[in-house]
Amino acid sequence: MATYKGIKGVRVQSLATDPTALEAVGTVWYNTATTALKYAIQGAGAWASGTAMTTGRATPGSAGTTSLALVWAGETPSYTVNTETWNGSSWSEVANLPVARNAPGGFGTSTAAVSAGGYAPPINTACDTWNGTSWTATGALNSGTQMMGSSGTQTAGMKFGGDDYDTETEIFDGSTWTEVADLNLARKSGGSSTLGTTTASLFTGGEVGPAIPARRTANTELWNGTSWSETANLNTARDATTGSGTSTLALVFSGGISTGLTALTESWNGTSWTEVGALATASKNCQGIGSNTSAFNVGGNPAPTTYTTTVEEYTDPSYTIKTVTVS
Amino acid sequence: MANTYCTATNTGKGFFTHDDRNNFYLSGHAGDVWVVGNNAAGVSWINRVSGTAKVKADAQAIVDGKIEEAQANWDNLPADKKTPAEGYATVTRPIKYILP
Repeated sequence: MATYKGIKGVRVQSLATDPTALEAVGTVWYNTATTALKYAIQGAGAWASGTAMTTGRATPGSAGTTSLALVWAGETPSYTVNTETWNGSSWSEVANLPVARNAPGGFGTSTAAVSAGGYAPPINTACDTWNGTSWTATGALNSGTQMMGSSGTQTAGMKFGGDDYDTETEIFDGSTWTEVADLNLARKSGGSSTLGTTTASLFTGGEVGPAIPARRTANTELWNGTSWSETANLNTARDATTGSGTSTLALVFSGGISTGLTALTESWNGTSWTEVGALATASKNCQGIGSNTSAFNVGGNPAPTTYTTTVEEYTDPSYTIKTVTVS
Repeated sequence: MANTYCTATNTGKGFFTHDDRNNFYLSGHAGDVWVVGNNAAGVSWINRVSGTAKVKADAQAIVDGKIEEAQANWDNLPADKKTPAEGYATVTRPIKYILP
């Protein structure tokens, strides 16, 4: 019979406490406290609970990654100027937006971000840039909108779609917005490739009109720097959804479906969507931050008049400790 | 029995981990109700988060009550908020559902 020592050349180590799953991947150990033989594996992508924001909100703007992020504005239910920054371990309130607004577009980093449009009221064209310390007004959108898709950097960013069921796409060069080719399908509240660029972005799902049940779409479009083209649909049509990643590696998660709210997460590989680990809690009007392998789902409406501070963190791959069972 | 039920308050970071999500089914619902895969890891998680065990009928009653509360809140919203309208995030009247 093969033995562990025969295969590995060493005995199974005995430990009083488990190492972290990441440290232990590929190893086996005996936990002397729980008298259990354990091993760690690389598992599929999964959502874990994260550090809650200080202000509960739906439809905020956001920029950055899961290491360094910025979240601002949104519905609390009143519209807010509140801005929070994430430093990798905690959220801190920083300088407020000049004007409270709901559902602005957002892109850039935690120290160089753009807030585009939103509802102040009314739906407006106003934009502000964030320099890590304060917000400053910058060039206005050509068409006022809210609940739009957005991606890029502070000097090369873009917005697409939005309310009132827009197709308009505009590109920002750091000071001025320029209209470019429209989306094929007018929509608001879709999922964006938050880390996309002005030459490669993705917009998927969303709300295409007020009529139920035809309001939700699974349609996905890709931007190539010149025009939008339709590509593979989501598996689950959804409105009030959000996303993260790039035009070739992205996630879409949360949103509204015919039976209520969804926790479903789908992963985009540049060609097709695949269902991956679901959020623990279904919600809508959340905001996605980060990439397809490390993402945040922040805030949202788990119920119509509830504005949550909750954050869930997606990691792919994730690492898992298992106990050897003998039956 | 595939799942077990409890109430517990989400305390943020560490409340449920990637490890937990790979080791047992977990979903959160209104009223701090959690549906937890009924295996050793799931039972251990309920103990770790100081969850209060519930039978399914009681967990369902908590969720139903919270949904009825949310439905009443939605019913009391101004008309322009009930249909997708300028300035508002899209919210729809919650629908009751059966816990897994």
